[in-house]
Amino acid sequence: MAIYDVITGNDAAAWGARLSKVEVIAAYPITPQTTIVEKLAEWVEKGELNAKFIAVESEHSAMAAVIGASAAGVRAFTATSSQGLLYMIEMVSWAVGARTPVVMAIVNRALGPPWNIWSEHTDALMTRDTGWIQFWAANNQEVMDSIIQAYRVAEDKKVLLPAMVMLGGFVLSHTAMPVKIHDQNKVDQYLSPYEPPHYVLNPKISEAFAYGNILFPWDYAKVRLSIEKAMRNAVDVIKRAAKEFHEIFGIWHGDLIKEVNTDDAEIVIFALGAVAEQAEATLEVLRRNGIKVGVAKIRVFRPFPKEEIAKIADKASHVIVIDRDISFGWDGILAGEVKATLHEYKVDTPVTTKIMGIGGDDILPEHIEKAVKEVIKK
Amino acid sequence: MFIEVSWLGRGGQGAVTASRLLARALAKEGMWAQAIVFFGAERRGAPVFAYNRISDKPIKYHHFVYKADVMVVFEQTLLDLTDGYKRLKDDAMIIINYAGDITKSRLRMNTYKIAKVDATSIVLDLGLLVAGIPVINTAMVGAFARAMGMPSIDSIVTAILETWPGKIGELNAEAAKRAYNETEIIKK
Repeated sequence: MAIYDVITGNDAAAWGARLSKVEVIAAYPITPQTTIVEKLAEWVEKGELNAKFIAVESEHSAMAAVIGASAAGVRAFTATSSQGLLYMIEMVSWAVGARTPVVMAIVNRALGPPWNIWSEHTDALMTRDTGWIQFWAANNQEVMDSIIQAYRVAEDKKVLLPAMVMLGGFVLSHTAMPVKIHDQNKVDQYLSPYEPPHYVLNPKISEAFAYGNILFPWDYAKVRLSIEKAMRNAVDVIKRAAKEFHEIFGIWHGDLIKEVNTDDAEIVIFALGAVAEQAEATLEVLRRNGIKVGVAKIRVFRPFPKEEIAKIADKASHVIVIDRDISFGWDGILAGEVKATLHEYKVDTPVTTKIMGIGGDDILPEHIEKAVKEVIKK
Repeated sequence: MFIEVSWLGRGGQGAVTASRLLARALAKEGMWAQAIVFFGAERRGAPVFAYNRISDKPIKYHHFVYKADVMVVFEQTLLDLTDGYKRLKDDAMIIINYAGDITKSRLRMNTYKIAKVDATSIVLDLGLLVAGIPVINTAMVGAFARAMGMPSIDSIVTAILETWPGKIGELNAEAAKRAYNETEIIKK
């Protein structure tokens, strides 16, 4: 086995930003995110990372600062969690319309009250309709690698949208595990410097422009349509980014989805992030007992991999969606998306929602086994 | 191989750091190790749990340890305070910081394998204190290596010196080495 460093998910996120050579970081502390920006601030202070660190007075200002930096032509990074993300939300939406390809790490944490600092996915999923690209990391290696990939995707001229990378609070953020920290030269080979076509301080001033003025309905709709097109373009860009990442680094986290044993699976589990990897770990136990289960880890939630999901579900006789989140009065948020997708693609495989792990409640292998066994009894 | 470890200490004693150091040292020998923490409302003196999961293959589990193969206990009162025995497998090993005659302790000597080290005396002797509290976490990592036969004390020393370069690292490395040498494994 190769020799790895052993670092927390938050350190892995900081490494992802560092290896991506971010030039501006603006952030406000919030548990469990804080140690990401602490690490980055430390590197900036020591001169190990050539970036400007802006200590702001709120998350709203943090996002405003990185939007400004990105619009001025530099690569920018921020990170937050839970309430911090909610406080930031006006600017989160602005980053999309302004076409500023910033990258943000979100350490998923439950929303209060009741006050709770532990893992839940509802925070990031509340930004579902903003137009951000969403990566969900299942382990610390993937946290680091997804941030590097996120810059590649976000800054692609066919995309130019911001991207967020999610990691489960404490489950990944404060759990140390082996991570291979990549060689900077290889990352430079993979990720070119940020050269947006349109930034405000572009010396070729005839090309410079920014989005900010009022637009009347007939023009506004066209601009919003261009965001939808960019999001659709992102599908192929993400696939290529994952493929080339694999070629250079020898690591495959999946592209929009990572499939595990789905080929012959009668039951397929869909989930996000570390929850999906927990299902993958449980799958080995179930398979040993002769139960044909597969896991489809939804790595990218926006753009939503509808076609892939429909294909995987079509082969199975039952789908279980594990949601560490809830949309009150509706369903698990991922489950709702999966059901809508299957309807669109005329796939009639039954879908069972399992909401687990709310507010950091530990998702145990036996919970997943129980969910599978209940489906078999039906 | 698949081993689950619990660290049971008090807030301020460095159980979290100990679990991370152990994981780093094991990784140097090609092992796969997670170091997991439960963060709640910690304060100095309150019981704190940290965990490791160790294997020769990548580990994909992401939950806490509920039944440990090994528990490292910073002082015996913590076992009673936390119902620590309920968090152990039947044939588990307890590695404990204890001064004096272990047969006079309240430990369930007939049920579990026990390894004992007087870490407090070692670190007091070395003057290893933070805010007046003896820092025994690195010594207990040394005791772990002796009791479990892995990782090597050299890997632990390297991990310690990487974490704290200079004098502090050297003191902690010395504590780990002494604890490694002084750990007694008590037969059931």
